[in-house]
Amino acid sequence: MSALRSLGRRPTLWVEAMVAAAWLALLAGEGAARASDGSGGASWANGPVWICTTGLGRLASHGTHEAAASAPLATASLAAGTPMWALMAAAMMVPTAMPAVQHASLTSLYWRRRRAALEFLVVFLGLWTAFSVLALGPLTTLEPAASPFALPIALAAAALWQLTPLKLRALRACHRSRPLPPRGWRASLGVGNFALHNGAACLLSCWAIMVAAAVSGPGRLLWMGALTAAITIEKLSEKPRTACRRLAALLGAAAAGVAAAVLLG
Amino acid sequence: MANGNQLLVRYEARSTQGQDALQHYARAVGAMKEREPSDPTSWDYQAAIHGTESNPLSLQRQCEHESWFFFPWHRIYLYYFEQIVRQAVVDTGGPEDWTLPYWNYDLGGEFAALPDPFRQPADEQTNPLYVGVRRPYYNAGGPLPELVSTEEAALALREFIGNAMFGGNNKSPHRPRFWGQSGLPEETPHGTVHVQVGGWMRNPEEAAWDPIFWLHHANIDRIWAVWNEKEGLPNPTESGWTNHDFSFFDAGGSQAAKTCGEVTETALLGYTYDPPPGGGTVEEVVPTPTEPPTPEPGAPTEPKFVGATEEPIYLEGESTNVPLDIDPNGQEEVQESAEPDDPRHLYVNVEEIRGESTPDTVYAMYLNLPEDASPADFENRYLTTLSFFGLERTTDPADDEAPHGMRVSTEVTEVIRRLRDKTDWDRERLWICFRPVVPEPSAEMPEEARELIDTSHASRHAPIEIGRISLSIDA
Repeated sequence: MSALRSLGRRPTLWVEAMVAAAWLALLAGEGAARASDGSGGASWANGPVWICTTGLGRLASHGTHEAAASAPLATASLAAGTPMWALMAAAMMVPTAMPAVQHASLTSLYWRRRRAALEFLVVFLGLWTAFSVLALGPLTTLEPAASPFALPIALAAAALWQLTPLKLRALRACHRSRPLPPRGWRASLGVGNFALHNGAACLLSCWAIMVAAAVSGPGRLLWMGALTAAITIEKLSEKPRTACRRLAALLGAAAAGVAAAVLLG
Repeated sequence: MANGNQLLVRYEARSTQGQDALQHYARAVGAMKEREPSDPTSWDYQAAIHGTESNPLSLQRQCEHESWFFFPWHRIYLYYFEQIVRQAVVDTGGPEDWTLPYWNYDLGGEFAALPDPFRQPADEQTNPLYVGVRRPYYNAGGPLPELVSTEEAALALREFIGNAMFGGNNKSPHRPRFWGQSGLPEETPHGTVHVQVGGWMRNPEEAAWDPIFWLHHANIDRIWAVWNEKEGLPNPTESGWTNHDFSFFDAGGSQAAKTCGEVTETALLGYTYDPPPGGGTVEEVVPTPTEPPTPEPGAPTEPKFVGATEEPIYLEGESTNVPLDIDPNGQEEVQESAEPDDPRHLYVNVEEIRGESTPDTVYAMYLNLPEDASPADFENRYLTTLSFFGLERTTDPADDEAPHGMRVSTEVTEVIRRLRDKTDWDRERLWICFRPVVPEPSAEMPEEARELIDTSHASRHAPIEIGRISLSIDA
């Protein structure tokens, strides 16, 4: 009972619940997509298209199943697409930022812990969602993204990015915090500033992996889950360079494996 | 130097046995300095295990600071280092039961000064224990100020795990933090003595090249043993601590490892201190079998923050007073927490400490110190002494380490209680006061040291930025 009470008092419990809800929504969307095309598999480049045009996206656009299942991102309304990218960011990126969310929350004045977590997430998710809408969205509508080689190429590019000094610098920056003033607009500004720096570092560190997730096609939820776990472990590691290299090796191996699978039919 | 139960005994550097051990130590250090730097038993290699600014070789640059591994890592480090030096002592005709002396500066007076063999002769060519880059005041025989050398506050702590506790906080990849997790003794006397002695000692990447480093850390190790054995206080039992191992090189140059659980008592490693940390005589100390630790489940509680400063604070060698407003929502709880029978504790946290390098200056921190403070005010309102030792490594880690902010926490419940009882207390605001620690001239100290006080303590006030100072209550 005391463990349950302790869990209930956690000021970031709602954030964890939000992440779980995001994954459930993605699962539901996957189920809806399979039901609508009957084959259980969309085309290779349809990852984000599927996200934007099924499940909640379909509700938002009021489209038919058929139209929704095949409509490219460009035709989906921004109102429908943006929440879906935010959903993907919430599911994939918020777990990696939980230490920062907890830091912002737990080192704020006691009575503004939940608010601090919310302020952090608004900025952090806003950054990721903007990146997804402005960069990932257009990218996935391009012709090459429909190629079966899109995923192995994206994984290989992510592996190479892992080995750059800029990536390591960004990953290290994910471990830095900012002073959090206690009260009023300064407090909100302080949390926002922390979220902005943390989110920018996170974006620079993980953008290539998010591209891979966005073009993952069939089995996309498995890819997203695996990549989320990998990024989270990398960001929690006390040895960033070692973690970077290990993830680079994993991504490289995954790229080779997928490419081989495509070539062998 | 073994007792009747075959435990080796480490002696205070100024004791007869300690002085004898220092003579052998000097010869052994000289011999080790002659060895190739790539030899794991060489002076250079052993020092670089703690830290180095060069490319690290195997097991180098491994020192554990700012976490609950601080005490065990350094105990194991000293254990294997002592074996290597002992072999060198034997090779140079010394006793087979040689032990590393310790420097007990807490005894005050002449004990607080560097032991003579480290200062005289003042020639690095002929005296392997002399280091010319130390703060001149200390090489001239000046004693450490009490605020720097005291172990009293460390031994008053009742728990091992925690930011403001004895041993530092849990360092686990499952509990990432944005700040360091040092315990209070890691700051005072550990960090403060490092920074005050100065020179190589001021920088973790160079500290172990100074031969006094090892006697300083033997004393820190003794303080841990006293905390365990005299105060009867327990070490962590979490498997993440007890099963964590660290590797070093033994006297033969081979890699060897021990877990934290294997070094919870000095007797388990075959040595004790004189006087024994648990009391009694050296002859009475016997090795005691270790009990298998029982894991203690339970989530750690997070502190509640009830007040903080609004703007960053800058320390540049001057006295500084900083207001810390207590939020109206927390003022009642602070009052209640300071009641004598209240189980809660109040802490002041110095957070987000940044700077390009560790300054030469250490600062004593006080609560509500008046302008015309009396000696009693200084005593009753003292919180802790800040050294900022290792600041370079936290803000700009050169190796494969995750960066983090530096943070020092100290309990203030008793001080607040005292102030409140004297009605010298404003429930809405605290004043945090920083005062640079400078030795007081006295007739007992060598004249040369007295003359060097000012020049030695005004040499380099590297500015320090403190992002925030907060007041918190444990749950």
